[in-house]
Amino acid sequence: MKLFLLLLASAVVPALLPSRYLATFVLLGLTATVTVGVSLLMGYAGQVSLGQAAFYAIGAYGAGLLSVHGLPPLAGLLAAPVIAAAAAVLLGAPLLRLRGHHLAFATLAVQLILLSLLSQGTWAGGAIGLQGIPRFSVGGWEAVSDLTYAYLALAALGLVLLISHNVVRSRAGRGLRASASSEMAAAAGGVPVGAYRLAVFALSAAFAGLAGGVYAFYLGYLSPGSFPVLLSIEFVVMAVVGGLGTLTGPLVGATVIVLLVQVLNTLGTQPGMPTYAPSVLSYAVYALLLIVAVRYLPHGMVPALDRLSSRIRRPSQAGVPAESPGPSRGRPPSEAASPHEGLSSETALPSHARPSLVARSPFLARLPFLARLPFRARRSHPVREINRRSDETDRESRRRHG
Amino acid sequence: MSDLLAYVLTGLGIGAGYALVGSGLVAIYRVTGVVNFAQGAFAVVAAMLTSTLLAGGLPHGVAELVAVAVAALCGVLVGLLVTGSPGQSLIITVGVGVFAYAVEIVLWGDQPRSFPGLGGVVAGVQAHYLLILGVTVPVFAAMGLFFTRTDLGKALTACASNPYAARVVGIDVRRMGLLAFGLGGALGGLAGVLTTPVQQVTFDSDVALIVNGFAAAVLGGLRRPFVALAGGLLLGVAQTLIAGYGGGAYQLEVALLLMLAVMIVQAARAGAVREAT
Repeated sequence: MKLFLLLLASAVVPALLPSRYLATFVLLGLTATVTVGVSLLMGYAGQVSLGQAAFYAIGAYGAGLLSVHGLPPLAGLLAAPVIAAAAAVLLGAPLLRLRGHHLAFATLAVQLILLSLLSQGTWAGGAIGLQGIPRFSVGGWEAVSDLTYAYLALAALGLVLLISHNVVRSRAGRGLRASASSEMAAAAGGVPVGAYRLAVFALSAAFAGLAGGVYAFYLGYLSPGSFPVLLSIEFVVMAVVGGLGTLTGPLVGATVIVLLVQVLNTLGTQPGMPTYAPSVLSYAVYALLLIVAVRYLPHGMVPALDRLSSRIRRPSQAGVPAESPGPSRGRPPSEAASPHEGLSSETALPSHARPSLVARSPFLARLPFLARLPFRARRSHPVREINRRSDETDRESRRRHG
Repeated sequence: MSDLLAYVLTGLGIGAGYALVGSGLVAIYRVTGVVNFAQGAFAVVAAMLTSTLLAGGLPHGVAELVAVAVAALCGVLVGLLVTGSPGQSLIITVGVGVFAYAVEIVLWGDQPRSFPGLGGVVAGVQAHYLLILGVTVPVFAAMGLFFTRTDLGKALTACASNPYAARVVGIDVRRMGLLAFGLGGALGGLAGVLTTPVQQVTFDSDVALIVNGFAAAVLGGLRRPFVALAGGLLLGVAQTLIAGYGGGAYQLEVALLLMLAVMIVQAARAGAVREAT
């Protein structure tokens, strides 16, 4: 709900912005639209895609080619997400057998192949690019001003958020989250893991395709160089920095990074700065934000801010670590599957399960590190660890064979 | 016929470069479980550094060795950064790779760079391709000896096969992980230093390097360095043959499609439902 109020509030922004900032706003809206899909894919389905810009490009080229060949722009825009989703289903059927870094490299490979095909195909304008895409129009009305495109981008973002909001809350969304933390458990529980993974892959591709369609009509010109591998990495950076597994996360991530890069761009093009300054600054920002976010804010900015605000609002309960409101929310799936899970989840136990002294004293409960103390000491000795592991293997093999 | 021989030799030279990048990936992955996306950046840094050192008057050989040593040091630094944060390690190395772009542009600019290698033509092949092969094969032989005959190499292999048991017998797994990163950095650097005279290097040529290296390494499931060598050589020869007999524009696609096919077949054989790695 808060999310849609935020979106509604941002609807007045383009009207107030000076026109020279409108291009940045359009870019921001489109980027956020793609990032919502990336966040859905990474946060809820637990898959890393390093090739999301490929679907952005497919949507853009799809819309562009259709309207260059005489179809009405509205049909092109509507077709863009459909084409991207269809491509995702075709590619995903074989590729989604892969997991983790294999999938990451496979999606990267798909993008490289697409870029190479686009730059060699004369049907797509080759390396020079696709030119002469008409302005977006419905009936007799033509969208000319940047302001219209700002609202178009905002509408795309709103639609994408609405869809994700409903998907996440549905039965399928719960199944997805379950399969992100343990595929085997989810499959045993009756979740059609493969079908859901493919569906969310297609959905995130459709989001990227929709954004690509708007992009094509906004610029009126497309080239393979507009969709570099770095763009895919940027989407991942925004999703991770904002916070995976939340819907506000991608918005915050995209906003923070696009604005920051814009500011640094302005700074870098000041007279006296070397010519390479803008690109160096933006690379450095992406890299440092990504590394800092993964190392120190593994849940991203939005969950961290949530935790901070809830700590300020309810100081008496500050001792209860903020993970407790919803353990699955905002937790990156790969971490949930890590062997350290046992350590961190114990700190998030409900308060009645805490050590009695800490739980009883309101003063001690205010010191969060105390609550974690006893569990730190329980990190096991390697020998015990081996015993535990072999016990587990025994149990598992017994389970399998009899 | 002589065309074919020249293509094969050139392909072997190119493939040796992929094999070095790939085996760097393998060296790091089998010990630490991290797929190092910044592997291509080691090659770029070493190549750029060599060009600067050579321009500064250092003789061939010394410049290359210094560059490889610096790449190894970079590897250890990346290792320090990555091994502290489990989970998300691939994402961190992606970040490192992008950060390397910024550093490389500041230090060396965004124009392609190269430096002269071994001149001359032997059997219709640039002699430098033979030099690449002539360095790579002994390096792999030395690596084989290192992993099977020395205590340090055996310790690394132990960490690769069972880190818990390795800890029990007193091996410092974390230090071995850093060592693996150093080794990976040196191998990546060596690849960059060797291939730059025949293939110009720019700050963003790391993507092509890492993709080809990954394609070479994935044949052995990212765990077997000698399969990475075979994979790299195969890839190099396949690409050169395709380029030589038409289709010059589709070199990268060959590597990518091969990689995708190998991964999909591997995944299909491993079974439908697995826990994420």
